[in-house]
Amino acid sequence: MNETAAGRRGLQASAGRGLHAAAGLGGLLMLAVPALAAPTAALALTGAGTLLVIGSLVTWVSRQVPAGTLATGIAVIQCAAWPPGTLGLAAEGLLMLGYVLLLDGPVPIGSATAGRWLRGQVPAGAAGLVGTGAVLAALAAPPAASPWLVLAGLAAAVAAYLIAVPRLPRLPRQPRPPSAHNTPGRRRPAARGPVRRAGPSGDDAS
Amino acid sequence: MRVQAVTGRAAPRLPGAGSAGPRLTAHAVTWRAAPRLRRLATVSLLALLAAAVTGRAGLLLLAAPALAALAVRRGRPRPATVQAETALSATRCFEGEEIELTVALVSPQILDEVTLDLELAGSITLVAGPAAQTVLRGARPGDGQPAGRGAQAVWLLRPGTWGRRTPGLVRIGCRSGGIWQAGLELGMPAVEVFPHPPPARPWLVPADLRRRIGEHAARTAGGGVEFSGIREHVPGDRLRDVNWAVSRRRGRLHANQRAAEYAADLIVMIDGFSEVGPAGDSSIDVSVRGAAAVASAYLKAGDQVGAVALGGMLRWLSPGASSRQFYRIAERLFDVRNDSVVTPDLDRIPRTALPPGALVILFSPLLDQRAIGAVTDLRERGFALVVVDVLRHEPPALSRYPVAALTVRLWRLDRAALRTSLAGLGVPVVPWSADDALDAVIAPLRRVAVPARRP
Repeated sequence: MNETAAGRRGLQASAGRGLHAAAGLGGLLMLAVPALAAPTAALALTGAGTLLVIGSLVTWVSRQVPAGTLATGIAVIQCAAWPPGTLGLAAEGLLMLGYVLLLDGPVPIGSATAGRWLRGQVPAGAAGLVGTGAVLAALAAPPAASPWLVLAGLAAAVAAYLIAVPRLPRLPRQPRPPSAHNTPGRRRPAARGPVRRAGPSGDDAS
Repeated sequence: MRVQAVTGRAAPRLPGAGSAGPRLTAHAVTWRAAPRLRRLATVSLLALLAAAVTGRAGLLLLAAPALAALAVRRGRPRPATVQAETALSATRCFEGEEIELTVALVSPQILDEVTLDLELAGSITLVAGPAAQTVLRGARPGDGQPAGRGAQAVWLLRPGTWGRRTPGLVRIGCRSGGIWQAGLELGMPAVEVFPHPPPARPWLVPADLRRRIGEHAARTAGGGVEFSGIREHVPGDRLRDVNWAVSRRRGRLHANQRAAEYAADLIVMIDGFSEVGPAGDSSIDVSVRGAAAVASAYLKAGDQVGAVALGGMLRWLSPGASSRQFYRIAERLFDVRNDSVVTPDLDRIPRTALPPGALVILFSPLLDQRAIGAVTDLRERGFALVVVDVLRHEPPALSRYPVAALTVRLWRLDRAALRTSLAGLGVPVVPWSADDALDAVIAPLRRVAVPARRP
């Protein structure tokens, strides 16, 4: 029984490590695509990004520093400074999505469970592909010269961000806790001025 | 992460769980953004800003997949409360026995991922199953999981050291849509771990036995089985007691005389004033195990056993002979680990708890003057007393100090002098080392009449 449990534990660890290795590979590719178009001086940025990608795979580092978020931020900055072309940007966007999705993979996971977890990520990946295709199609259209169109495009991008990023619903207001004067067994202090007391035992009942 | 237990709710059972399954309690959970949501939102925001600042529409290709992935995940309903509970297969066990911990969680809405992480206290080890387990949506009933609506995990634990302790806690992480997460911390019921008694026999017998049927041969003649002498036959003697060889030699009938068999009163005493040694093998651990062994052996022989714990508040338990007495003694000794500067006043122990004529076995490292004072006090009051020295770890002689070895040698001499002075009072002191069995340590004293009189 102990051997079976140990074997299962080994399988779980290897499946979890496989997911993390895939995430690391995706992260390195994410940094490599813009680095191909970048000058040599930008390699320092790539090196920092590589360290962050490796750090994001180590649990205690990722608990201290948002290494994955910083690594993707570096990739975006690299792409903004030295854009690798339209197809390169499309691949970069998908690599970023793959890296972020795989980085979330649970570590203690069996091989069968890993397959099920990967299948659960398919809708997000497919949505990313559709989104990339839509933007590619929009970019393939002849550019318009009107500034209103540019403004409308920007507004659409902002609207897409606001719609896509979910927000937590506002929590209902909690009822106020009873104050010290209001606790049972303690008489409420007398209010200023005359007070009408309801009930047959009150002084004003008659 | 805030978790608030909701009381007064119905407590259903986990679907598929047996009658011994845990009763579920409702817990309110607070959902927060998962790291994935933060990463995707940051990437898309940075890409949009970069596109706006540089005027390159191509940078929107970086934001599009992240935004699309977020949009497809945002509409998943999340439960405001989940029902969860931990249950142990037993709340009382002996050291080294295995107990099963079951954690169950049921959610009114489907959860994508549930992570169950076990954090154990120091003296408890995990026997089987990984400490962290992940259950995904779509787990089949054959996996032992309630499909989609919750999770269940089973761990096998082994408590290593006696005491009343909580095995640890279970952290439950829930994910919905991959972008929302909530956490829950579940405590566990306390487990009473009884000391595992090493084998022992009731070798030591006090001089004064109770007038109660038992297994110890008394000095007086009676109806036992142990031979005690030969006397002339008197009317009423049984025929089978006639010693024919002696009768033929003497020319008159003689009969064998047998000793009466009575029960003894035993008090096990623990010195909790000082604790020396590593956890699990400290002087108090050894003392409690020894006391449990002695109590178990005498209770099996039909004797009455009581307990007194020195250290902190004085605790005692009147002698009793029932089978439950062992557990009562062990429970009384659970709280012996209390630091205190109070000198115990043994006069406070009632006569029923420390009956005159009882044999007292004290387990002590003989390091604290208050314990030595208690020994002297008891002896002067006429109790038959045996001290088992449970000190197994000497102070280290550090080689960098030239006088260290000499100091340790002096310390040993001091302890030898203490043992000699106690022996002069009529209190035998037997050292119990790790290599010796308690039975072998106590056995040489069985021929020594433990006097129950004032020195």
